[in-house]
Amino acid sequence: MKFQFPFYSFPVSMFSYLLLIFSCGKVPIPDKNQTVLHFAENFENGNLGQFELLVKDTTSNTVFVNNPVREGNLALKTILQPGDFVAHGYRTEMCVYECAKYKTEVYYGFSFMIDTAYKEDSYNVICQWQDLPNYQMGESWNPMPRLHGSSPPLHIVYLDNHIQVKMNTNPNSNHYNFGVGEIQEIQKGVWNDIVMHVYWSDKDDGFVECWLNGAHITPFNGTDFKYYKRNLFNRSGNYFKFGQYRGPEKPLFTNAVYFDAVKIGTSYEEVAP
Amino acid sequence: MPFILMPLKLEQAMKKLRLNVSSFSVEKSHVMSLLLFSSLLAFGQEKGSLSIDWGSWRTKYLYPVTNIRYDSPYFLKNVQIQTRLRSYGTLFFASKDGYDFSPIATYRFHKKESKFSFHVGLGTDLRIRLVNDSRAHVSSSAEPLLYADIQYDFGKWQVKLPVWNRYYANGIGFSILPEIAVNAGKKLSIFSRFEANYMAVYNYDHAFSADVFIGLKWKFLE
Repeated sequence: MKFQFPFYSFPVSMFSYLLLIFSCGKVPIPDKNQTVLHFAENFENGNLGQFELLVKDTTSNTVFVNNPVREGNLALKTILQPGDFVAHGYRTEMCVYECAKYKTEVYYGFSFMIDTAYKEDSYNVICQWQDLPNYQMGESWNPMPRLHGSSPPLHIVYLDNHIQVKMNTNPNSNHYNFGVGEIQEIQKGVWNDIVMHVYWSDKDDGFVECWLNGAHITPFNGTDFKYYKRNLFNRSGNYFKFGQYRGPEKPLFTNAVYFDAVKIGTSYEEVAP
Repeated sequence: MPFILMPLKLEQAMKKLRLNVSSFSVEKSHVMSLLLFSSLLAFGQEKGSLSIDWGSWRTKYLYPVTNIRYDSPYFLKNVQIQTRLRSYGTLFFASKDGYDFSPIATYRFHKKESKFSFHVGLGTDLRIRLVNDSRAHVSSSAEPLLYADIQYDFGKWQVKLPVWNRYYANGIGFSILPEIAVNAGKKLSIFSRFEANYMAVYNYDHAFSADVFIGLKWKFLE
């Protein structure tokens, strides 16, 4: 048996090989020390153009209100109804991409208020930093079969007049969430200011530091209030979402949470409401 | 001169010469052309072996990946062509996310009858990324790769230890792909392969990743 080459295989192969050699790409890992996004939205323009939306119907799920407001004249009222199923979960969320890159140190600030008429049901994630596909390693959002479903690496959960910063370090599960620091009591109908300071890393040199109304709520570690833990599942980084997310279980009630003064930057002063 | 000892000036010159592959979009027709070209070379032959495997562990989480591979019979006494087409995001091979196409020509240093053999080779690793998403900063490209492996045939079992060495515009990558196969008849064997990858950006950063695959190989008897 002889191996059979088409007559044109040699020139085609040589040309292809030279082309390929001179078209080397970069190593498929994201750069470290990437630039930090500076972002500010206080909803004074009355639009959500700065955000990618995970909202079933903007007319019924997002409303601009002039009372209550944290700063300026308008705030965003997010409304989640029992039928608002979007992208594998019940949610009304606004997303900001390119703001949680690998090996960057970023501050996030926003104010939120739980509506006085809020009816307690189950947990409600009011903000989260969710992982992204590792595009450079061939990944995308919708593999078949869908195997990669997990809780976000970092999120803040509201339940029954309390909030807690939570993390997940298991990319394959949503059953291994753990709290960072103590559960904090809050009041409905009162604005609360959140500032998060995060160093994004896929190793345990990553950290998170959180303030609620100007006071640290992450635990003191003997030196500072930074909680060190891996907070990236891969080096594609995370993205930021705020609003309401109730997971795959259908909410029993229609509830509202207000948001104002959403900011991202490189210092506490830049983002603090 | 080995690439690893390449002087900085030469590396910079290569960067200047580098074609911007990201400037053209990879369409499905390009993928089909590649598939047809590889099919022409691979399946047009009379013998060899064909394998398919599934898996991917991604070090820390599961992600579906499928590989189809053709190993030609030896020609010119000791030369063989291996062609692997990898699809991402699916266990059903037809992917909208991305493919890797990796043809490698290898040379065998031992006689065909020998149970132990050592191979070296040269090939390319073409990364075709089809994700159409403004959030995905990724582009298609191709890298040359050097190949070496040792194999041992225990009769019913075969063990193989290939190493791939890729060269990027700004770094280098090594992959070790140990594979163990067990015969399930004259033509069919079942195998499992572990892939450990190390990638380094020159003087800057590095990363590890790992995948696991399980598959079937069909040998066309000579």
